[in-house]
Amino acid sequence: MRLLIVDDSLVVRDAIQRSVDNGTISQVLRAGDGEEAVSIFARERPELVTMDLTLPRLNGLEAIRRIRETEPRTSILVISALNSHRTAMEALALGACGFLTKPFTAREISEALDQLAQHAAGQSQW
Amino acid sequence: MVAYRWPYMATDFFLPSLTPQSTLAELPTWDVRLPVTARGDAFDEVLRRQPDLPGVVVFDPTGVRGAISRARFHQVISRPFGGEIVRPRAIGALLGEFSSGDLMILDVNMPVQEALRESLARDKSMIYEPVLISANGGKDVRLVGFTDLLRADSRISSLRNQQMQEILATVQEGFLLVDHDYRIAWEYSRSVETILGRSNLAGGSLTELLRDLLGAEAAQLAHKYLEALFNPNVIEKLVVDINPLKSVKVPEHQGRSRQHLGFAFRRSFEGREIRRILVRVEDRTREVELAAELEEQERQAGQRVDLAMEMMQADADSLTDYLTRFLVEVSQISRLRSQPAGGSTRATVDAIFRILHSLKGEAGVIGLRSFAQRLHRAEDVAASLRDSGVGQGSLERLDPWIESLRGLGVEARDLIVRLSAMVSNKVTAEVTSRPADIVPALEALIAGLSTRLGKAARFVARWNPEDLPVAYGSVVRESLIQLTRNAMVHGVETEQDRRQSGKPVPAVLQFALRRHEPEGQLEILFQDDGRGLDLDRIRGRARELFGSEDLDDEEAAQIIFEPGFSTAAKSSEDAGRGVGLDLVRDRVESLGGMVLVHSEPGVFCAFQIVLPLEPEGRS
Repeated sequence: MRLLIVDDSLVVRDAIQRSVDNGTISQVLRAGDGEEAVSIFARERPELVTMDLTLPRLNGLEAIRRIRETEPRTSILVISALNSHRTAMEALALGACGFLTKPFTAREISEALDQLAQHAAGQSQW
Repeated sequence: MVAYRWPYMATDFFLPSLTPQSTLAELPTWDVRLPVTARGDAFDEVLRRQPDLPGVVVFDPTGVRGAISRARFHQVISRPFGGEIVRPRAIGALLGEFSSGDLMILDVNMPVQEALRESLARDKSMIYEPVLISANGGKDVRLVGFTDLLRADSRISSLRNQQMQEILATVQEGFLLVDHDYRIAWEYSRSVETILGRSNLAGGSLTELLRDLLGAEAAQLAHKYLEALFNPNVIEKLVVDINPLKSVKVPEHQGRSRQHLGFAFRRSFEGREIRRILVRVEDRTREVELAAELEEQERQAGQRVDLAMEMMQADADSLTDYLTRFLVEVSQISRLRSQPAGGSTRATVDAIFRILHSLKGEAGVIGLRSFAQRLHRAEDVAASLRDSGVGQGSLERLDPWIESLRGLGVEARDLIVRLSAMVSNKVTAEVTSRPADIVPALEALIAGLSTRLGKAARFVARWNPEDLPVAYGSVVRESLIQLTRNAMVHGVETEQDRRQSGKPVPAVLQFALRRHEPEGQLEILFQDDGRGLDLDRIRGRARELFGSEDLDDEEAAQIIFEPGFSTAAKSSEDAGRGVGLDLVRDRVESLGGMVLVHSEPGVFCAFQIVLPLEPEGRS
């Protein structure tokens, strides 16, 4: 499976990438803003996406909407600070599978990515 | 030849011992068998003698050959000439006729409810047929009637129901179930009613209940969260963190006091389908209160430790002097607060403000950061009162701060008493009263400010402590503290700025004290080699603050002594309140002295304080 990491912070992108289990995830793609995320997604169609919500150019919610429009089976995990429950609920309504709150530990992110990958594997079986 | 075997009595007699886990082994079964050679009229006879008997098992020397039910037997003999055909013949020959389909054989260890489900899954024509139960690996076969199975199942269901009710009534936890329509199912625990203060919840809408309790916003969020939980695309474990009702405040309502509630949500599946959401409700009021209390206790304990550390490191004499003055001044603030000076609230606030400011300055010098911080916050309140054009009533806002400061002072004094009790036996003899040792205090202040402001400076003192009249100890000390802070914040440039303008690093602050016996004067000089007074900037601020126009250089320099004047844009713990220099001037003038300022832009700024050698009122 392939994973697209979307976050405007290089540090966070690196932190997420370090927690990736190479056994399940064969390739990692990265994007620093919403526009870039949508265009990389359209080209590469990865099965998994981690998405920050506050992003330059195109915000995370809109990026989720467009990605799910392109490919409704994509498993998207929001990784963001929980600034408002309203936004978090909206992300789920738009098709995110889960929400990991910043700040996170390496263990949390790695467990969450496992769950996301399992979920995606289950989806492709249907 | 009829073989009856125990038990075959009325079924209800056995049922009370059933449990939800009961298996077929616990049911009353019929062990009535006939050999294949028995005639049809023998069968008829058995059925007549046992009206409840559902059927018989038919066997031959090799084992069980099949079974014939009462219903099927009657069906066959009621056909035209049925009786004539069946009664005289051996039933073995007619077995195919009697058992029209496969008989259901179930293991004796199968739970009753599962057995009923299996027997209901049979072909419609077979549904009322008895069920064969095999034990001992098929060697032993008995019959159980379909109606007995139904009766046992109903008994077990009602037992389950009763157990559920008992659990729901006694469990301390509050839980309820909601379906896709967010309706509350009947099986919710009674504790929910106690926790929420509502009853008869079954069938009601959870969303509406939450709206009523928590308001529209929280109810809407909860609704969306439930929606997400019912959505199979959402991973349950990965949304636990964003549960909007993890800890929520319930405002006072209908005579109930304020509460903190915690809601947790779990999916409940039927097969792979998310059928309902289990909602756990907790009253977290006590927990939240305890957490707040604990936090407050920890905060206070932390502050007490800080305070003790600061006091241990402070100079003992300065500390006791300061604490005495602190408590006196705080009482003075209380007096001012209750009897506004000259009826003007503004004047009262100004006076309180200056006391706070002066106390804060000294606290910084002695190294009592706990005091300095709390005084700074009190100052904030006083400043906002001053700036917002205070009304009489608003002085009340100072009260908690006055109390808090008094508490701090008392606490510090108690600490001293306790600390000195611990060491009194050893060191009392060593504590001697020294002349007001101002220089180390100022050096400490400069060192602290240097680090915080990123400005390097050294202090040079030219004086003989004995030249300072004891009566002036406090005023000189206070004035030098204010002047030092003023110089460090406004006068001295950053290291980088100094290097760029070719000035030496560190900057130099100088203090000199001289007695002029013939003139009967004491002269104190305080000078920094910083950027000097920026008269244009001062004029600009004077225009903003006081509307003063066209000040000449002399007048502009004097403006810095006005209460409320500061060129700093933001107030900090260090400076910027526009209190300080006015305080110095007031104290000096009240002793019959004067303060002069000299400055050359970019080169220096010097303050000259002149006091009568003999303090006024004493001569």
